[in-house]
Amino acid sequence: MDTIRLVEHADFLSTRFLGEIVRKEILGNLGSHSVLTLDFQGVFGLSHSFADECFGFLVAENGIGFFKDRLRFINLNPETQAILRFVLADRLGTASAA
Amino acid sequence: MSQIIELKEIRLRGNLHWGTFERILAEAGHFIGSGARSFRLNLRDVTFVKPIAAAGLAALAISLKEKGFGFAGVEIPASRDAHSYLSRIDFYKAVRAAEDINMARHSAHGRFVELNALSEISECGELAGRIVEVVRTQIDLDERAQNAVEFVLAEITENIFHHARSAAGGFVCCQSYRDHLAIAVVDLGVGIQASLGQNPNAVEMVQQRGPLLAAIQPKMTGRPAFNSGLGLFWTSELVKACGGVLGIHSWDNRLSLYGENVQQCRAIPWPGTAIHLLLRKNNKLNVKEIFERFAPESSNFEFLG
Repeated sequence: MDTIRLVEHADFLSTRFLGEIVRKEILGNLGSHSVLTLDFQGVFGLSHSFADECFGFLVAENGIGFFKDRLRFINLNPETQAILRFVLADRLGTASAA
Repeated sequence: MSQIIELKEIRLRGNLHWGTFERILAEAGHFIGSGARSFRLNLRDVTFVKPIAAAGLAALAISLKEKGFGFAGVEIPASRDAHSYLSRIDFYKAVRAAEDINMARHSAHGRFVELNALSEISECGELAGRIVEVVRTQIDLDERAQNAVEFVLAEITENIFHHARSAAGGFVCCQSYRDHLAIAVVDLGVGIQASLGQNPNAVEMVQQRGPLLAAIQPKMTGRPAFNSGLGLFWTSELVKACGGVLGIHSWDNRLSLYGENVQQCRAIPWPGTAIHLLLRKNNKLNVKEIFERFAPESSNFEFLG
């Protein structure tokens, strides 16, 4: 599968529990695809805990280059973009609340 | 020779809400101090109940039962409104009393989410989703504000499992009023001070500011390797933005954040953490604005669109 549709998990993505599941799903699919699309169509929000467990851990372990080269984010709403920007910046040590 | 008291009432009166939450604890303290073996909740003179009081009373009853006290049921409020409310939010079911038999049931759709006992972490997301269904039916809240409410719920319910280590799980309920939403999350866990005490880096902040004011600062967590310590921080920022209320009662500490104003004091101990949240339906709840304050747009993240 070269596209993961996040809404299949929930229309609001929350909890570290789910974040870990999605992170493992992403890593599992990257074994067979050079680029993976993460489609947020239908997702109207996510929690910081989910975002940190899923994407924060991924950027901490793999760096920002991994996100730019191997993941394609589509259909994010402005709130989701803002939370993801914070989580990535926080794990990279560039957010002001860090 | 002292006489053993078999049964004693925990008697409550009047309006039960965040401002009178300590009354419940004081009455429970009197009961425990009496040496009685069993308790009965006497709610006859209760006239009004907010979610924090319903969740607190339910958790208290469960806590006393777990300590080995017998439970002799509930004397229902004489106020039909108060009794009806307790019945509709499943209070009697939550404390495993039989008093709601034959009580008329009403659809909760759009107005409240009944008292739910959370026992598994996987239930947090589902419950937050049910609560946001209440919010979604409110015509005066836009999608961003709904998003913010679900965001807050997801963060604070998950705390029960990550930080409180509450063997009995927790209770959550929510009620929509004309101009605000009241949410209660109550657990019987180790409390915030004990949780933060696991992290040596948090101890100094706790000593300087007190445990609850420390807990709403960014990056305050007892488990820095696993959690980011931002859940209560984001919650407090959203409360400030909408002019709402965040109340935290954790063991013998109590904090009330009214918009930008904060009060912290010592209190009658609660065996865990109780969180009272009042969010105003004024559409100033905006997750995006708050996150952008701390991580402004950057060319590094253009791939996010």
